Amino acid sequence: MKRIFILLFVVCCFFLFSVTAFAGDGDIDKYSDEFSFEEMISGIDSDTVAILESMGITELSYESVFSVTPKKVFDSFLEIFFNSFKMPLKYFFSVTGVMAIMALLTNLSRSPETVTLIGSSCVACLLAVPVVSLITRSFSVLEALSAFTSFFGGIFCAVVSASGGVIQGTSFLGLNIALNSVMSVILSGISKPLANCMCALSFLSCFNIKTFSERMSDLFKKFYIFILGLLTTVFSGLSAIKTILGGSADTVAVKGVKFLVGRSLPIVGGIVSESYQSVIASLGLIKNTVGVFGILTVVITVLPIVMELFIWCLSFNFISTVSEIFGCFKIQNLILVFKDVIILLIATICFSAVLFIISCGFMLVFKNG
Amino acid sequence: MDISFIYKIAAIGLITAVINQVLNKNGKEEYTLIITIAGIIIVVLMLLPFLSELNDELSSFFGL
Amino acid sequence: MTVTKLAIFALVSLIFLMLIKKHSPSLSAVSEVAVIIIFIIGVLPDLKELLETLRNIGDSFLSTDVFKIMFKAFGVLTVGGIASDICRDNGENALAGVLEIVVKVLAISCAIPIFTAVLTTALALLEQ
Repeated sequence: MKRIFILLFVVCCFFLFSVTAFAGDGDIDKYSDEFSFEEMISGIDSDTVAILESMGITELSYESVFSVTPKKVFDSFLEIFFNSFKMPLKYFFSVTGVMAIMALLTNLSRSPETVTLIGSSCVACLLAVPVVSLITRSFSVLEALSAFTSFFGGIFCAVVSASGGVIQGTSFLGLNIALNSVMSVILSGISKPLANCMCALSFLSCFNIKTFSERMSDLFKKFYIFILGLLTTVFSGLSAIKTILGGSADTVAVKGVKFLVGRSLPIVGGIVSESYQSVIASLGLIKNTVGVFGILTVVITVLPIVMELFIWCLSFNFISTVSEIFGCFKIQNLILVFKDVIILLIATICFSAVLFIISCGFMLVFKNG
Repeated sequence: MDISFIYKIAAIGLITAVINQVLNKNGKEEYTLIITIAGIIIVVLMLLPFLSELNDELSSFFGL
Repeated sequence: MTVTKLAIFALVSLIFLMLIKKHSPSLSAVSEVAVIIIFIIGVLPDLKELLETLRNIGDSFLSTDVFKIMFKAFGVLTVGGIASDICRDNGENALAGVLEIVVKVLAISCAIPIFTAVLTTALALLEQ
């Protein structure tokens, strides 16, 4: 009898005095103030916000980001594509018209050099506006990108550290800051002057003031892309190394904490250490959501301008072929230099976007614990 | 295409030439210059309406 | 205006000009000018339609006066060239050469707004 009573008492104590420990769910809104997501979202450019909303991502939450379907993505890409088609096509037709008339008048006239001079300066005048606006817009996109990545870096580092990856987070932040400063140096010191000088010299070449030959611009382009490629390799290598090693170090740290808590707390130690694991997992969901959101925002910030630059590059290719057919070689030189400038701009923008995506991607793939 | 105008100019030219030859034969060479100049002035005066028409046409055509 | 009509007109005028040249050379210069003027006036209306079509196509694509400037420069060059050829026909090569130079300068000055635009853009880019 006594033994049965003691057994019943122990079972009751077991159910009465047990403690449940569980982690909170992965509800991102609870953490939005702590990690100041609002600040990050307000740092995004308004066009990008419009495109994100058209894809269905209205707020930074798991459901919103996960609800992106291929159809929505495809529709917004198509819209961006068709929007960026109009201007290059219009300029293609007008430049072709000017070249046709110039070729006709050159043949009819008794002083063809004068007509060629006037014709090529007409083409330069026509193309001045779109080319200069393309250059200014590319650099403003790059500035917006660097502003967003600096906001994002801090916030993502905080989220990653909260989900257990302290070393990973700090290494990400460090690399992010280094990358931003290197990029700003490159942009203001090399890219902008290079693009501006190449454009200006090609404009002046139509007056025979300074013939900026195709070979020089080709050389500049190859050198620049080589340097960018080198920097990309170095940065992604560093990022990979730091993330992998940091991840392993953090795993060790997490397991150490679990062991310590499990051994040090008297009764609930085991339960608390297990619940620490589930806290990390739920914060890991938030980390992945924020990371994916960051990658998506960068891609969407960069995509319209890259598509437009690419279409301009194609249209310049067509114009240079047409000018060769008409025999206007000065104009062909001009157009080829513009094409090289656009390729430089595409390379710069893709470089900065891809680096960010790679470092963010490493953070998302190499989890700890 | 007033080809008749060409005939008129040719006619004036021939008349001028004939008058000059007659004056030369009669020994009055000094008058040849005056007759030639008169012939040129007559042709230019006949040409004036055409000149103004050409000016108008070219201005509208080329936007000069 | 068919080609044969134009060719016949040109050849008949040539015969008359040769006739006039033999008897009074100074009159031949004036008559040459007369022939050329009549020729141009006869041909212009046909070319006008072509030009209007080209201009309409051009204006529908561009909003600037690029075509206008190019045609004006071409017109200046052509008219000046014809005048210098007439001078050369009558033996005045120096006059013809000077006229050619002046006409080229005038044609380039027609296009000054375009040159200013291109130069200011280029210099602004270089300053940045």
